[in-house]
Amino acid sequence: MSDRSAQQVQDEFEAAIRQFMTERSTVIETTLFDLPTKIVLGQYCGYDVLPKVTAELERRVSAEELGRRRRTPGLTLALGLCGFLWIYLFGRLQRYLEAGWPDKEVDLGDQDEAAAVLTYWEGVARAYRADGSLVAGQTRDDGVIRCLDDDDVQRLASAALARGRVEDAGLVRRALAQMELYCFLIHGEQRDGIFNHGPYSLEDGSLLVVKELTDLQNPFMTWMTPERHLSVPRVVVPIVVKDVECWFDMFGTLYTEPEDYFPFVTGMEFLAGEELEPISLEQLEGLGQEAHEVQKDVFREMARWDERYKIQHAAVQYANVNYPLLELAGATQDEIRKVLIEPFEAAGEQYVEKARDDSGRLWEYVASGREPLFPEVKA
Amino acid sequence: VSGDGDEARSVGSGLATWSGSFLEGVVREVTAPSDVLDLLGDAPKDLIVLMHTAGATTLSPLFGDIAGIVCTTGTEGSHVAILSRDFGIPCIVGTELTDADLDGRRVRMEPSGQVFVLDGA
Repeated sequence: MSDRSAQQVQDEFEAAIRQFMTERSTVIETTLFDLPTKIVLGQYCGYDVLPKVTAELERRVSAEELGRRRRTPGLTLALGLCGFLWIYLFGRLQRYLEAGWPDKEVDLGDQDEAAAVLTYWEGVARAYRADGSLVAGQTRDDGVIRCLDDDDVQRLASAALARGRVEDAGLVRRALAQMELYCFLIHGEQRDGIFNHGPYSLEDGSLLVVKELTDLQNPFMTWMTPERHLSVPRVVVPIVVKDVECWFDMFGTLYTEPEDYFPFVTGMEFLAGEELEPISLEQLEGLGQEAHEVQKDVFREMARWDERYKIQHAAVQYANVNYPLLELAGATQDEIRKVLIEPFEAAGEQYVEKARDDSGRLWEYVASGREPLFPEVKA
Repeated sequence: VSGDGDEARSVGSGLATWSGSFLEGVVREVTAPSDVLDLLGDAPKDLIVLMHTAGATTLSPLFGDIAGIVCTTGTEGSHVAILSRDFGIPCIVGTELTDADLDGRRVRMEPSGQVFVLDGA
């Protein structure tokens, strides 16, 4: 059991978000989507739906058990754990700002609900990370996501070292970059499906980091028809490096010093499919080519979406990032649709105009640096 | 400066993200998704994209078909610079252009970060 109150969980998460916003040096600029507005829409949906999803998760499995189940290589959409709380808390913030907070006292009667979300999430995150903290600290010193047990670390490191140094770094970098771009594009220009974790220290002073590309056969986003799936659902790349500093942000972005870590790789393996079987460089290159071809097809469709759908699609996208939690809790795809996907879609239909109108208010408040970032949780 | 018999005129410079040899190609300016759609299936072999945002997702379906990128914004850590290195594509970010009318023109990108117009210089 945790000794943190719901407010303390929120404070810890808020501190990580502030650090994330300070440290993050690159901003994704885009001409395809209005990201600030679609993010606001996804968060409105999350505020309405995620408390019910939390109740469903709690009914099925304890938070601690769900956290333990997450400790596995190649977990689908692993960044979704931080995404879950981010979406909910920012959605709640949007509602409070709309009601006049922080300039006046506001209570939307959601205290118990917010406490339940924060408390359950804390239990999952604590068991998932197993190091006492809830999120990566975002800097070189504390930006760690160690979410594998020792047996998995040793197994992945051994596989990477057995394969050895990268034979054709150019091919590997291109193929992985194509799959990262695939993930970016199909998730509406957001990095869902791209996740890295570690660093795991090895006996000889080397480090293991694990690069994961998942959600390559997405079942829920309406534009991701089966012919747009790659031939494997996930690719996991354990990488052993020597004399490289590695750190991560809360969403699993890998940072290294030196930035080009390839010359320092002593072992790298490519695992794919449900069973994470080794694949050849030719197969990796083939996956990169598949990803390239699908991007052309998806881009053509997305570029022709009308202005309303270019925002509204965020509803199913923001639902999607949360589906692995329900899946891990034992829900079927039909149950996931009913509990998560369809309610998000309905909320998206309801809030799309509101998101357009309210987008500026949220981002102005965030940019103001006012504290606290989120309304208090009193329960 | 001359290259392949063409007169060359400097039109700006920025931060190059590669080392090695220069690249010559034909510039197509990308400012909107419709520009990308135009290039899909109809990209010249030596396509150099001129863009003004350092996010790279707009170019997503073109990576693999691009020879080089000139970007008027961004830094070494920008998404477009990172992806250019992954794809082994010459890229110049934060480029200050003295002549921004480059669409359709043949240019040379130098690893020093300089951009030269080759035709009609």
